[in-house]
Amino acid sequence: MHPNKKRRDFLKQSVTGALGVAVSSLPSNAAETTPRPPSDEGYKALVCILLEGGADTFNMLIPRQKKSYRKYKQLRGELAVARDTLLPIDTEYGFRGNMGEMQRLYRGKKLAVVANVGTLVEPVTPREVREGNKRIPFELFAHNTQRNQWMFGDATGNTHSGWGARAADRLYASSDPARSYSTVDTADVNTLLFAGGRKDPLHFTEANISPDTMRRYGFGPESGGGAFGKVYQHLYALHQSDRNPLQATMARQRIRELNLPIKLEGLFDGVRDFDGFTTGVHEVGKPLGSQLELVAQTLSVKDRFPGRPRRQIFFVDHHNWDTHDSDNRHQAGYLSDSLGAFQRAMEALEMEEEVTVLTLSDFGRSLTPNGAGTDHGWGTFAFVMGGAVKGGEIYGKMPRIERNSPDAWYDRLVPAFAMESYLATLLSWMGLSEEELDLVLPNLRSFPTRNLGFMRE
Amino acid sequence: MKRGEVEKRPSYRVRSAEEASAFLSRATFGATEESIRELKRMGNYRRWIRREFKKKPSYHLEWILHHAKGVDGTEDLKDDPEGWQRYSDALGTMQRDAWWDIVVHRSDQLRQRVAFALSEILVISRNGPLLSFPDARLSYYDLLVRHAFDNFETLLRAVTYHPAMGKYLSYLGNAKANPRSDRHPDENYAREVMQLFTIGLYELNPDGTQKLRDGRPIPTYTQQDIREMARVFTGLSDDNGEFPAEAAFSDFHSRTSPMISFEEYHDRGEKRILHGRKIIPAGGDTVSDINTALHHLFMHPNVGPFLARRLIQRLVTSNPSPRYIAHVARAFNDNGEGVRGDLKAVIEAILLDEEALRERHDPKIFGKFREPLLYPAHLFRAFHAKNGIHTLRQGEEKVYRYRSFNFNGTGMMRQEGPLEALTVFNYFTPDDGPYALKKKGLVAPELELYGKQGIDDVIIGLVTENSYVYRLFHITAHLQLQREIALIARKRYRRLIDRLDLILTGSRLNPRTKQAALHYIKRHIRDKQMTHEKMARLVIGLIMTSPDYAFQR
Repeated sequence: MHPNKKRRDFLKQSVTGALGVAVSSLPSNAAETTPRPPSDEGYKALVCILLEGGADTFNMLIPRQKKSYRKYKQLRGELAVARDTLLPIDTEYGFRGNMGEMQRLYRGKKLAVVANVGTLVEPVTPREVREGNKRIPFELFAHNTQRNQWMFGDATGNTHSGWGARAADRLYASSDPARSYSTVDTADVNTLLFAGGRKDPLHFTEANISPDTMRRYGFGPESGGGAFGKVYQHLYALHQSDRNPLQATMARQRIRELNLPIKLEGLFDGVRDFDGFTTGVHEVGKPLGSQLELVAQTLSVKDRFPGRPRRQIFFVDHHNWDTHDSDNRHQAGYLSDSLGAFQRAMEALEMEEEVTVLTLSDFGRSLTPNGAGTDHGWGTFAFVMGGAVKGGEIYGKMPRIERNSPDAWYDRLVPAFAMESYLATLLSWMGLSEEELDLVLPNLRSFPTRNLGFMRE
Repeated sequence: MKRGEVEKRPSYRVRSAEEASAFLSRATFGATEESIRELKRMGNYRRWIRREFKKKPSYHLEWILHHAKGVDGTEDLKDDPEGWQRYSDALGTMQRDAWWDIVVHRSDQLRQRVAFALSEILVISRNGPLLSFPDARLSYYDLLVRHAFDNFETLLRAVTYHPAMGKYLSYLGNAKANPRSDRHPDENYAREVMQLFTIGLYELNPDGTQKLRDGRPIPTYTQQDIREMARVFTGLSDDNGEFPAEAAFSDFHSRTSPMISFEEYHDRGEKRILHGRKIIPAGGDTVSDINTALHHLFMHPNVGPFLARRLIQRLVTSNPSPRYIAHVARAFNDNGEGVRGDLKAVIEAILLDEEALRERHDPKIFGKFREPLLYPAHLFRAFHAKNGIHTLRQGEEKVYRYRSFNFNGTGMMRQEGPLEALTVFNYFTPDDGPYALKKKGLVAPELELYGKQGIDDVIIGLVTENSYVYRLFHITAHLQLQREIALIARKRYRRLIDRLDLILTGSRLNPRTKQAALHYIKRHIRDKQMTHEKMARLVIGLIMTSPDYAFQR
């Protein structure tokens, strides 16, 4: 066995495995309640890719006409991507040279671009921002606040749960066993996207695909085995009702984790591998390819989940997009390659119509460089991919990549579309009614556009 | 304090071994039998702290250069700083070895614990542009060690001029705007030095609560301020004689010495910061402008409560009362001799506040979850782990030899390591916590690091000297368990549990947890293949993976 591979396997072991715990309190799969019937009976899933740190999408999709390229080149200086390396998607724009997969997907009408979307409290123009009479999101340009607003689906500061959680709560009755399998997090850390839902997300790593005991590594009986594990589990069970709310919360969390491999027992048996998911040498945190492969694997066994969830929302977190001091070349390549591999996986599963991928990011970036990189911005391009996407189009008017243009406040784009309009388009495809959209996205009605039209209905 | 109550002079008397143990869990990398006894004998917490202030600092880079001996004809590491690749790779590996050895064995415990806390506030990381520059990171960590008991303004300056920070937050080589192009000065440090290192996003009351205007928090700065502040941090590059440095970061000296200024790249115009209220007049040079800006930040009324909350959270409790924060902020504002920013006064206030020492306030929520890194540190300390001679190989070649646990720490679980956060926001932020707690107005930042691939795995592997883990990772951290084994041999099970309870949790184990452990011993001590030693290991493992241990009170 390759030493790295072995090490990875080791890293994958869950607590349960380590302690040889045999968890007895299985969730009841028996309670078969009928899910709230979605608008149609087919299966649908959203896969949200967070480009964490704020993606420089302006160096991913680049004007290629002589005149507009010249302006771009002048503005971006050393950071500008060479014109002759661009991969054309139409007469006006091209992807950067290492984004061949996204070019292919766009031309194959599987990928759409949404021009200039971002956090807003109400529609606002750059001029109005300058005049300061309209409300704008609090703490623009700060990573955490802006990312949180994207995760909450609301920039007013009045919402503290995730839009993914709220959407799933609308799509399922809480008694529906499928609800527990409807939100899935493949990232290293918990996500706010699913915070505050009636059920916690399935937060898992590859570890849970083949719940292995640590026995084969010597963690099992020799370190106390089942008896030790039982005491361990007993202590956490006891503390679930601790009068210290912090301890009680932690203990409940741990018990859920301990139960997870049991909850997933057998569901992933014989799960298939997919080709083409790679790990980039410059990636930080959990690689995008491995997270998307896990999503594909989960999708491949979706019908085995209790209650057979008909709607699922996945969260994938890709780090290292905060390019103050560098170009985003590596990141853009990983995104493009991973989307290509994922789309091929969906084709192999014959699920391309049923799965839609969308990108989210903290914010766009400054149009002008700061030398070697760019700073925190506001409006950004977003990418949507899948068989149900009306691809090969750019939705909305592409902003001018110029300082103080009618699209920009200094060198930061002022969003033309609110994130709510973007998300509502996708959640409407998922089957939420207009009424439900207003509940899930409480500030949606502040914006004129409820549907950007990039999804087939 | 209630009206009519007379303020008593606080007592710093050590009242019991239990209390001493709990105190040491906050002020050191974990209590030991010896450290509890020593503190108890000393009898006074303040005296203990003041003695710590005087101890000689242990520096991490020095540790490595001193300990790494060449083998097979290679020179000692300290003699070979220009054998760049070998040197850099070796430092990268040894960074963790140095950290573990120092936090476990060295006596300047309070300083190291505070430096570690500061490393999670003034964050740089191995992840990102510093990946291949371990010397820069080590030198930065040593800076935190050096200034842990210094003045905060001095610390902030040292941090700002350090090339590791300059590179990490991309203002090393940051030039003033070029009027002929659209380039603007890098805003990265301008923003984070305010948001994360000094004043935060919103104006604070002295007790750390947010000031409100029309029911909304009041931002401490605007994007315009960021733009102005970005112009301040122009003109710095590393000390290699060039700007912006094709050659940047090219040698040990430039990576570990303060950055220097290149005036032609500095924006000398007037800058207005903090809502335009503070003016840095035109004509200043790089250093005067930066020092003036840092001074304005340092003098901002937010810094006291901002830093107080963060340091209290790192050392004592996740949800300090406003009164506790106000007390520490007062110490920051004035150390009693009219000096602002004295970190010694801040640390004393944090560790000696009655909320910490006597658990007054709301005992139901007092305390914090231990960070994963602190688990093995405590395990190694409490049970006097012996390290072994480790030979560092590069490829097939044996390069350096030094004493080490050879434990990669919880970093190997992609969880936590010294200076290894994924972003400048650290492993967790002060406001993190599960939704269920946040709804109650509570936070539990460290829980971001709890979960699968958890620290419990690592602890069980380490405490049982699990053959797979030890062999695979060549760990050499041999626990000395003679006392524990003897107690088991004499069937003094209750005594064993009490002893572990005292050292590991300050006797905070839930009685039911103790009962369960006792029951476990009695039931399994006569199992086939069970030995006294094995049982000792299992009981320690049981306690250290219990929820009682996880929550430090």
